[in-house]
Amino acid sequence: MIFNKKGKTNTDRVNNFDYLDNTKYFYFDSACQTLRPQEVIDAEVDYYHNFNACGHRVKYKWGLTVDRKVEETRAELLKLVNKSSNEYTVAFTLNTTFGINFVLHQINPNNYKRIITSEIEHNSVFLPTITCSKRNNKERIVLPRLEDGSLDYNLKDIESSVVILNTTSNIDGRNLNNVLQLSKDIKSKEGFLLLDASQSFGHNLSILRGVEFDAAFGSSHKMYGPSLGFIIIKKEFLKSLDCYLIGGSTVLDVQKDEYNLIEDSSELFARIEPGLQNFAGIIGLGESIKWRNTFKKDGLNEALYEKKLQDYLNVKLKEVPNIKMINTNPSSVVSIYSSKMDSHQLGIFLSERNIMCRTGYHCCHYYLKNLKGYPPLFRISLGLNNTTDQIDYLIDSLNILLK
Amino acid sequence: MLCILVFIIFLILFPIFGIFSKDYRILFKKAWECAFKKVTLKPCDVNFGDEVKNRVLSKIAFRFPRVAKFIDKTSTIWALAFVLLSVWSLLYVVNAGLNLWVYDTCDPVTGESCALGGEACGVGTNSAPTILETLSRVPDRLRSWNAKEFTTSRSSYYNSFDLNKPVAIEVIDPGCQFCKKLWANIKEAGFENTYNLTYLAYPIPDVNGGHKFQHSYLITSYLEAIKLVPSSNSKSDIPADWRLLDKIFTSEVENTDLQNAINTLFSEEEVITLINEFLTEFGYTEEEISSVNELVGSDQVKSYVKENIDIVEKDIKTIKIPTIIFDGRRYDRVVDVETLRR
Repeated sequence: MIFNKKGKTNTDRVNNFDYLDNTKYFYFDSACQTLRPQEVIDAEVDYYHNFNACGHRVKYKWGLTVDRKVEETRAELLKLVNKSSNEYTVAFTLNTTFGINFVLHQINPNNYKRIITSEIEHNSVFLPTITCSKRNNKERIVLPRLEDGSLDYNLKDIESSVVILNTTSNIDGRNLNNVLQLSKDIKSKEGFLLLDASQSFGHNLSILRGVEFDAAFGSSHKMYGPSLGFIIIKKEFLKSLDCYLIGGSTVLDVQKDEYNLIEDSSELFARIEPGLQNFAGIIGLGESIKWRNTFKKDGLNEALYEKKLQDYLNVKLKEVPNIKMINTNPSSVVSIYSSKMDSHQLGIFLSERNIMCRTGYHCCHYYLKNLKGYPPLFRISLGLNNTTDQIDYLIDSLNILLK
Repeated sequence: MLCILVFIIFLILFPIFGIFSKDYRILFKKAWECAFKKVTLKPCDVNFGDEVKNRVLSKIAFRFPRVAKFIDKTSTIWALAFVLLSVWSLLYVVNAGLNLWVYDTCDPVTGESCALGGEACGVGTNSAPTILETLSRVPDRLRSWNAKEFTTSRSSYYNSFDLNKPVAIEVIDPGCQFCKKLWANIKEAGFENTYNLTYLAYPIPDVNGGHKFQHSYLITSYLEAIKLVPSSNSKSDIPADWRLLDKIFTSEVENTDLQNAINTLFSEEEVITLINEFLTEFGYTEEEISSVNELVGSDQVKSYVKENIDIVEKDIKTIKIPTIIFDGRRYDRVVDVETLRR
């Protein structure tokens, strides 16, 4: 549905990214946030125009519509990772960083011995593990990741540990390829597995399927939805959290000096959804999932189209002189640097041609800057809005500047 | 260095664009913080200077990649040069501003070349005053000026001296076109009747030991000599020296104003002949004119002219004339009619 200024719908106007001139604007920063298809924007506007109300514990029609659509989004998210609503639930947060902090700091310290993370983590994982280990006086171990993205670990490390890792790197798209085995090992050693899956939700859903995680964190804005975070969390794990960040919606009853948290299995998510939610965003996220499920371009579905772009970019990039690729495999997220030009300068110069790429350390200072000693990087991240023509334009521009 | 350069550039651009654009206001603030840290030797956000540099270079990066690379590699040198030039320019402007305030000209060496100063003939100096010399003149700019302090026993007043009127004195060179202009304003304002108006004739010297206007010294000598030989049958109350000045400033000869003709066309003999003709017109007898002519080259008149020069150069210390002093103030320029009427 499309809305005109009076809030009435106009159909057959635009869809997907047709509102954007793909020959003028070249957006390659989908790893930070994807562009929003018109359908998602319309879904948010639909909420604001037609049933702009609070959800959760309301009896009037608009509120019930909100509840229904929010529940649809929770169901869609569970479906993405093949999880049952009996075992898992979905809670919404501000973003992945907030979700990780929110959960990590509320795990009962008596339930684990140490915190494990890896060296290629985003600061959204790396920093909360530091603060959490310090606050709770827990050992913290930073494990290496192999070239294929697998975690290099031994069983002793993960025993009774909270293990928190990304499943797809925001630096170079490396995947946590041994996540399946890792999840089994962690379960056998009575640990907890938390996954920063924000890049995977956007580019590589298959890696999450079948994994026995306790919580997986994602960002709607990296998967064509509005700015929003979510947590797919195992109900048993959620119940074990020492919930102290609470307020509106989180409780069943309140006495003078005591309270009762929500116990109902179907509403457990509310324990970690304090306060009013971003209903328009949640509804938009639901729409973005549906949109991806029906996406078709050049006769290809989402995964195949993205693979096509990945391969094309990979081949073309290898022809650009004077660059070093951090990961030479095809990926939706590619980081490079050049001996000919500083990455920030490159980013600014390309911006003159409306080519938008991220530069710097991509919130992975420890690994990129201090462990590997890389200069600031130039990152190209693909999305469904991109085309091979756009990649050609990017490559031509790089050739001019770096030859 | 880039930070400081960016700040200086924004200091110039801010008043133009800053009012209209929030982006510029933010950049100005960032540039200021960065430049402040730099000059106070604190760590500065080096990325800011680079970012601004890169934004500028991005405009030519694709069209002229080699030029962009060259400027990029030599940017620190360019920045240093611009900063030094800017600092130098700033000091120059401050110095010129101080000169303008103290001397009424931004260029004391050739006073008339400064468009911001008032109209006047530059007395000129061989070298520009140092900043310390200029600062030492600040009290002169602030003091109250009394015209009486610069009169002499020979001072000639346009009208008979009236004890009820204040004294005004002007320093003039008979060859200076701006002294002529001031005289026209004085007459239009009736200033000569409001004050006891007198003058100091001062032939502006030139750097070669001569005079800026070739016959000014001769005419000045005549003015002093005429004061010593009053006409026995003058029919005017106005002294003959004033009448001679009035002739020079207001007469025309062959469609050219007389002052200009004297400066550019007349020989010394022709000037003497002209003055003698004027003196005849003023009622001077042949004997009196002869006396005047004899006095002009005398030591007495030379000493009087020297006294005038000393007063101007040592007491009044003007570097531009006309200088006119009245009502406690001093003006080193052509004063407009309105001011003279007040």
